[in-house]
Amino acid sequence: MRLRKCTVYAVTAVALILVNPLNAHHSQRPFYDYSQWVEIEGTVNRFNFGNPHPVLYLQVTEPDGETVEWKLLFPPASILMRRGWTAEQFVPGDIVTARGHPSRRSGTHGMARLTITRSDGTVAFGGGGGASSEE
Amino acid sequence: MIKISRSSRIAAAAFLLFLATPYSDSTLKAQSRATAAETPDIDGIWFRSDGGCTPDGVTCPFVVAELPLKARTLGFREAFDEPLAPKYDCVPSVVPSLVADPYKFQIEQLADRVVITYEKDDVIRTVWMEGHGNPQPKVGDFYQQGHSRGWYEENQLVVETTKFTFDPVGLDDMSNLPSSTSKKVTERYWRDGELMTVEVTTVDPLFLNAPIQFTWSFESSDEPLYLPYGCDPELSKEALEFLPPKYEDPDLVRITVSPYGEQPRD
Repeated sequence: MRLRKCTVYAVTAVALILVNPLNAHHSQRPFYDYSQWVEIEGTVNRFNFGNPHPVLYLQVTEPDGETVEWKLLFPPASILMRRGWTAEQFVPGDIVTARGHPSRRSGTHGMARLTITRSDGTVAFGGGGGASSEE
Repeated sequence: MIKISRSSRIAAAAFLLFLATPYSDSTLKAQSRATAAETPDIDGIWFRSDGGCTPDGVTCPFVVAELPLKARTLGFREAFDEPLAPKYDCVPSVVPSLVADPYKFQIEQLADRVVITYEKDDVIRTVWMEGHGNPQPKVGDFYQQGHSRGWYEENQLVVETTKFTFDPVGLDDMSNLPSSTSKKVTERYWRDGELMTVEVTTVDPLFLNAPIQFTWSFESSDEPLYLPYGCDPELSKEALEFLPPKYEDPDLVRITVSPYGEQPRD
């Protein structure tokens, strides 16, 4: 009987999980275009803090003046809670800038591998300009 | 005439009752199966010391291209559409994927069972230890998490789980590999110094040509589990709109049956 083994080593795996925070639920590549970057500024409509992925709903005014809602997905709440996050991490009216990879399906407004910066310049999530080891 | 004392009669009756009880056989089996020296101390909360699966770069814990998949498995995967995955309806993961998820879990070693509580998806598995007269599933009984029986041998906890329902992502929920009711997952848990190592072997003659296996190590944790997980179906589905559709929505098919047997045409 032939057995196949997959052993993943600590350093590589820890590094990868840090840059793939959403992978506990599903793979990201089918959903987001990793060859593209987008940056938006918007106002928080609401923050739904739960599992499997909290979602930040951001009201953004496009260059043509149209207002659209972006959905930004985060790592599981159970992981973020260990970092001290609560449902009040973002509150309606907060102004933030988000940078990341856009969603693939045309007409949708989603983003992955986020870096989120508050209006006072503090980084609320992510960092490193959204760069990852896979770039 | 041989005179038997009252105490001797009581002792003999007790011995006969012991032989007659249905638990006597299983109790003896339990004693012969494992001794305290063969029982690893794995009670506690554990987390992955060797990172997480990274489906964005490489498939994990399995490299799909290297798996001994049957043709029907590949065909199923090719036809499968991501939004059909049960996880988007908050259906919990199952083994083997559940073991590889980057969440903490707790093991409680009780006399007649081992209870494994996972932070992910609020899953609680009961491993019924052999030799305690625990209930056995019947021929037609199948469960989403399967039925787990366990025993100790050579300082390992061995958990054998069968009786799974068909699961469209039951072999790997990141790569969308299905599993059948013939799936059998054997987990071996042992202490390796401060670490606990788990070896997970999966067989499924309907979808695999040979067993597949992975091994992870875990560290002990003093942190409690964050429960309940409380998967929110609204949040779970949020990303699906970002996914380009694999199939177009079918056009409305209108079939009108004439009472005279003719099909009206537009």
